[in-house]
Amino acid sequence: MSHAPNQTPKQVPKPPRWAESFLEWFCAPHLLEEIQGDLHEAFLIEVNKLGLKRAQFWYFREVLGFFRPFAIRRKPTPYSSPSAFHPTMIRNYLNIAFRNLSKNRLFASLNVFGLTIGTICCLYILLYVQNERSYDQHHAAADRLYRITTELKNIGATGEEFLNSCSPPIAAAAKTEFPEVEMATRMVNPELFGIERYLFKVDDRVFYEKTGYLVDSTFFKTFDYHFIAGNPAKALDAPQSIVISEALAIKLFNTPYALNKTINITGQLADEVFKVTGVFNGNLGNTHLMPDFFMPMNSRGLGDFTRQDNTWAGNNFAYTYFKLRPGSNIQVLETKLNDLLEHRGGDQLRQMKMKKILHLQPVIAIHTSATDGKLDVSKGTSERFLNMLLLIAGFIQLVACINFMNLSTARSTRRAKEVGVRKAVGAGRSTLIAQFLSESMVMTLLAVGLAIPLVIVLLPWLNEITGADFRLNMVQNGWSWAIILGLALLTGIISGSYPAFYLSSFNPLSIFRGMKTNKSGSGAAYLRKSLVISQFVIASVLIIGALVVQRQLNYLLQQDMGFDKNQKMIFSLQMVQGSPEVETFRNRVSALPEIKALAGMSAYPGQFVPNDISLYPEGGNMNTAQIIRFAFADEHFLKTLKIGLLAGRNFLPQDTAQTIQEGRVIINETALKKLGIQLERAPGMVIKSDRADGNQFHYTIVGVMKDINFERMSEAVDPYMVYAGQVRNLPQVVADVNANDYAALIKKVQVIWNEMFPSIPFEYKFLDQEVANLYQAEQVFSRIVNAFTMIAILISCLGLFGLAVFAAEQRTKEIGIRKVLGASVGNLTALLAKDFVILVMVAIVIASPIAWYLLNLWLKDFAYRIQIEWWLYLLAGGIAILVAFLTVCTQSIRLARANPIQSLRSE
Amino acid sequence: MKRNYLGEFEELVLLSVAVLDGKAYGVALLQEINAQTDRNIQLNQVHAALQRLEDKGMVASAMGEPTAERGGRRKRFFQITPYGLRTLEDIQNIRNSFWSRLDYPKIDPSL
Repeated sequence: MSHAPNQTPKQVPKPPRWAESFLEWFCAPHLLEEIQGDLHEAFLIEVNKLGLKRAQFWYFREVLGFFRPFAIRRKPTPYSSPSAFHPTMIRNYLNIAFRNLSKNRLFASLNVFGLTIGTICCLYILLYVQNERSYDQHHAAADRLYRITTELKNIGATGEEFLNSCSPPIAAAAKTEFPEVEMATRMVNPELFGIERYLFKVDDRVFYEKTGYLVDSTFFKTFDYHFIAGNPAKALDAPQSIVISEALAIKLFNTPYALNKTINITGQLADEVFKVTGVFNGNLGNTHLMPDFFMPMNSRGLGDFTRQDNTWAGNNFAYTYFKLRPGSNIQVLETKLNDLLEHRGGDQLRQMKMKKILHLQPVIAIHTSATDGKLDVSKGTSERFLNMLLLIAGFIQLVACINFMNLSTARSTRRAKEVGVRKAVGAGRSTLIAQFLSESMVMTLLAVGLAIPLVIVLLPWLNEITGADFRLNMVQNGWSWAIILGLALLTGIISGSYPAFYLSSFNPLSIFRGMKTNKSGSGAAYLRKSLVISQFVIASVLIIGALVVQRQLNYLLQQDMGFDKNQKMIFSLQMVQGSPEVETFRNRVSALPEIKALAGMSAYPGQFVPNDISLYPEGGNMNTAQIIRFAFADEHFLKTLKIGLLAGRNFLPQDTAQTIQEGRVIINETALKKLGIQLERAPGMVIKSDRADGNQFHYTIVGVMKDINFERMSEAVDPYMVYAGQVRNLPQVVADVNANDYAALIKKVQVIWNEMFPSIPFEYKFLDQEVANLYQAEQVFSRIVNAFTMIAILISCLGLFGLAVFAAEQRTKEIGIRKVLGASVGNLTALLAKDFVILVMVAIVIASPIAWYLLNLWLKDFAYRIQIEWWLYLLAGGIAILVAFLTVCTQSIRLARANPIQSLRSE
Repeated sequence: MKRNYLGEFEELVLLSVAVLDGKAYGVALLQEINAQTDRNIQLNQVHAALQRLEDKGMVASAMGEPTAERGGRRKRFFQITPYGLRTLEDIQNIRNSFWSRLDYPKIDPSL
């Protein structure tokens, strides 16, 4: 070889190192020498021809060129073992796996039990999450459906608000002005207007029905519903038509085919006749819009109001949906929408001193972003919550996998001989790995096989925990099976791979020489300890979490809300609102001895407060106005709910007797502060609001009340006031009750009710329950965390128990000798338990800051929240240690009590 | 006539092995073929072809002695077998018989 003249002979150019390694890795050993030799020789020639850089590139290309079967295929030898995946070998693996499982029944059952529980958990969560994410995916134009959401500035306690709805005229204007909008439709939820239920009359039977929406006639052209009767395209064209759910049809008419039947409905208006023009069911898939009935926007009352409304700034009550043309640019359309809003409603907005931004939200994302905005149509969930569930489920399964790892490696000494013999007779490492992996796969498949029927059986109970309501549709849903298969594979591989690699690494020589595993035995013990620690870290975080969530929930429920929610009954007179019968009913009920006080309201605390108005004090103008939310109430309101009055007076009967031009209001502290009025000067002061038509509304402050939490306590108190209203117009009657026998009281009220309103079913509510319902999400969360905590502890303890059994077995002789030398049962128990309890303690130390961080993340969403006190960590730690100690003790006591003769005599 | 099928490239490699007569190994063959045909073939193609030829029994190989120039790695030398040589001759005979019958056709100038 001749070198280039400028190259010193010492520095022979080298081909790229990693290309070399790659070649050495894949090339068959019997070909490597000649191929590498030829390559090197040719490389030097290329260096002379092309220079080092390009020669290296050439080399790399050549090496890649050798990556072909002829160079990779290993030379067959007469002694080669069959492939690790040969069918015979696989049959052998399964055989050995089953033999091993049946030989070690205790360990097998501990593992299978743990894995089954973990899999039930995981499987349920996976299916649940998949179900939650399937909402609104079935519409033909699912990816082109958008909802307008509204962002308001300068409002409320935080200064901004996100609403899932917008002002009514936007839909029609957008449809005419923007070519992107193929279809626009609106939905109005009468519940927002205090119409919480409808009275349905069919012949002489009456029913309360709760959820019904008013929708534009384009609704069923935008969304796809499965109609079992009627024509979706025309169902809502005529006024006084109604489309009902299959369940409602069966309830009302005993048949789903209820087309053209009539219903008398009392809701917004009394006794209107509606004709059924369609019956739908949810067979197409989940959707966030699944009421019991749809009524056309083209109807009287709320429909008229919505259609004629020309407010662009306020009245953000219409849920507006677009079906866009394919390829529409969302950003551009959003900008155009806001331009349209400025053009048509800019003056109104400036007058009301509001900033308003419209956004487009994909309909498929609505169900899983429920907490993002106010005024939700239906109970949804949040991606964050779903991800957290997935995370916890993953951790639970991991805890179960760790059990398998620990129990397998702990027992490795027992199987070392087996590994040695197998290797001596020619088992390759891959064969052994396949062998051990198949054991974990068999275990996992057993667990999954047990878990599937259990999930189906336990489904109602699990649904109760998560507050969900989904059915398993295994046959139809191919996804479910994919999930199950994926879960089984993943679990098997995670739990089996470490033991497989560890056990197959034993050196047969050292196994037979000293019957001792090699030095990595201590490494495995170390890893085992770390795994136990991580199990208990997960369990401890969950314990702390369960404690904190429970305490926060109790705090929310027991916190002084500024009003007394105990022993309050609520009767809704919405069906007869405005009639003198309201007064008669109230008088007759308050005459009962058990009733201490009785008040009427338009919305009781805890119920959604739909009304708000921008108000400014004397000397101000609309630019300094504050948006204040209000409810109507009578003069008994303060007394009945035991709300403190800070200044001024209560309403007087003459305030509420008739409608007066100048409204009398009692405002809360927050409103007072926001308006900048001093407490002493407040009573008698007039606050005003300018209307778009040039008129002014005047309200006289007669009193100032303490702040009450009329909403969830995750919100800070908004400016709020009560407006003196006529008794007959206050549908929610709240009674302060002093009774021992509620059943008797309810009977008495029912008698009065049935006498007065024979055609309306009697119903009642308790205020404390209504308030508790505000925290349903938190209650669900608390239940889930509790359940997960139990499961994590249970599985961790199964593993700990297995390890304790193993440790006890190994130390039988030691214990025997100690006992002979005079150790007490207590001494020995402590000796055995010590190792494990230390691990749990370490786990708690690691878990505490993690729990602190995660829980503060959760707590920061609440305006009123608890502090996580130090003793909570101690309590959680105490629980974990106690449980672990008891688990280990069952073994150690048995061992410590055993007769030392037996352990010492053998061998 | 029944014989093993020989691809054009294999034939080239086999010819080169025959020509180099005992001194044929990967790099030598690569250079020989590149020089004679003015192509730019790759070493791995040569190796792949050699292995196929050896499987067909047209070449035989043996490892040489270690030399300093390639880091002490030995070369594998290839020698054509009688069967290989006969195959080459067969191919040549067939071609010759065709060529001998070729009566340079008039090429239509319009084509």
